[in-house]
Amino acid sequence: MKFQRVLILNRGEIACRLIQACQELGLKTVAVYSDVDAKSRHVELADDSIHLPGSSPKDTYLNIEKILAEAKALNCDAVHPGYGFLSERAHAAEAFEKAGMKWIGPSPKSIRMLGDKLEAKKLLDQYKVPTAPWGEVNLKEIKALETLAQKIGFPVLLKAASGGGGKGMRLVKDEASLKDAAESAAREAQSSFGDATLLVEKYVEEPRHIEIQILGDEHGNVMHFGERECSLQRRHQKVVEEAPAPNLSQKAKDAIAASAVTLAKGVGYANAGTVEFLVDKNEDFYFLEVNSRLQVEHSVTEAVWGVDLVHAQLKIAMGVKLSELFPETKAPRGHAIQARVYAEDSSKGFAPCPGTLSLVEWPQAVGLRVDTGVRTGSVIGLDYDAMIAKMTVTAENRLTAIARLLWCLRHTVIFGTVTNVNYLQDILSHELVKNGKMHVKLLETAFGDWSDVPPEALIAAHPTLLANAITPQTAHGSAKQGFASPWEHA
Amino acid sequence: MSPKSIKVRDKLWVQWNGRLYGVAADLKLAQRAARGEETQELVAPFSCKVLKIFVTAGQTIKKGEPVVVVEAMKMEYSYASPKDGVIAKVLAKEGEILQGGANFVAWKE
Repeated sequence: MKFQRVLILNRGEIACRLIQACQELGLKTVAVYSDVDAKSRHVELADDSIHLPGSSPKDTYLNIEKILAEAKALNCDAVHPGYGFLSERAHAAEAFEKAGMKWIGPSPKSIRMLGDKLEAKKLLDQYKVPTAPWGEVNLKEIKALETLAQKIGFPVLLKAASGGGGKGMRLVKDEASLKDAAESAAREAQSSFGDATLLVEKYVEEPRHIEIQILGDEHGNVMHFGERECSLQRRHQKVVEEAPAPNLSQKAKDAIAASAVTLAKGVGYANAGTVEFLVDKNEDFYFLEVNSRLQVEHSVTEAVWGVDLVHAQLKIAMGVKLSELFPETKAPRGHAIQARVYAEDSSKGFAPCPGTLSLVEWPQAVGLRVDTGVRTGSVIGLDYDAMIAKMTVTAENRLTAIARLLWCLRHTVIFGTVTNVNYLQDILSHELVKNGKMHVKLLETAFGDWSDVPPEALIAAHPTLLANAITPQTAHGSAKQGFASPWEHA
Repeated sequence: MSPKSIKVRDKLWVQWNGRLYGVAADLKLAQRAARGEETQELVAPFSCKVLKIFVTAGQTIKKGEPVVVVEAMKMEYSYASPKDGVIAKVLAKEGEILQGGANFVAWKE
């Protein structure tokens, strides 16, 4: 199906990234924005835009009816959902397709089958994809939950049955902490996904998180673009991701990728997706979930495979076959690492730190890609994810890539709110990370009590620093007028 | 690498040796914070919804014991007591939306 005008159904860095890809292919773009995002970069980049009054996700980026009506009026004939928001909502995909807009992503049927963790798990047996012992339960049946957890054996992992991204996820070490954890997980699941059903799963100790990037076309073909190593997580959310995975045998990589492709082919998966696995010390692997969308960390795959996954998504949606898109066999080259820069306090439970970015400066560096939707003067609010940017570096080998990313972080300036830039530097300097010995609990165990106080020398230099301090500039060039305090939004 | 700094209201933001810090613009306050003498209050760091309160007025609690669970951006954050002490009054209610900076509890001196 040909299309000309793509609705960019997202905000922030991913909206900017999608707009660039569309425009490179000669497609027009229409952005959506909430009240607080009116002056955002993605709105400026797009050819046209739709204002979604309000600021809560429900009123704005999740407001299907409003978006549909406005997008139709502007003659949009395709929609790219990015990640988060409506990207994995089958009913949204259906609604847009019904309105004559091509959904740039997997079919509603695939989203439904794979996005629902329970459905997906049932498919796994069929396609012989290894999985850890598990079961589903409703919170109201607390007895059933206890019985199930005992049967599976502690420690267990509680997850929201109909969600992803770490929300509603809790590790429960023993029966005593089961009830509180389940209540908390169910509340989070209910408020995030409107469904409090929990999935209980055997917790694999110190596993690695390895995921496979897949692309399927609309003619039944599926291929993979290798693995990503995403074990460095805080609160079950990824912070540093890389490709290829270090210290993993080629045999294991091939087996995991083959599993992912078999599953995707089995369900007739089209467009971009990721199949996530946990891998234990023996390189045994267990299915985790499928993300039926583009992922935040797709950039590291693009870097080592030399592909543009969004271009591929758009062309696949136009009906192009994989064999036409990639006529020659691709192979990964070099190493790529991405760090997610967040406005959050890594020493205080990763609490989000809203505020106005009074100065933002990215380094000019060899091998660096910065994906961001913000700049000096932008406001990080509480309505949406607190991610400021993704910094992705590419180098010929892993150690050079780490050194490069460290250099780039050390030359990054973000003033006006607390960020995780120092935390990221300390992660990348850790011996186990340098040696490629990561597991999903590493940040919790090695950085659980991480804190960072200003060095004495800084305090000693305080008067000089104050005297030399730059006066913040607004976009209009005036020093004081219209300059918002970072604390006004706190 | 020479340091870079910017002053915004009562805060001095500094890039020092490749790392980023936000310190009080007031030298005395910055010195106190650097010595670890930050006020041991228990405040909402951002606007949030109170989901659960674990303490009651008159209760003696130890440092590290859970006090509240709040929600912001669909994520839950729990806060523990920063010190040993006695709760004089619980200032937050379950279900209540708090602004950043609001105290969860009042302490008995």
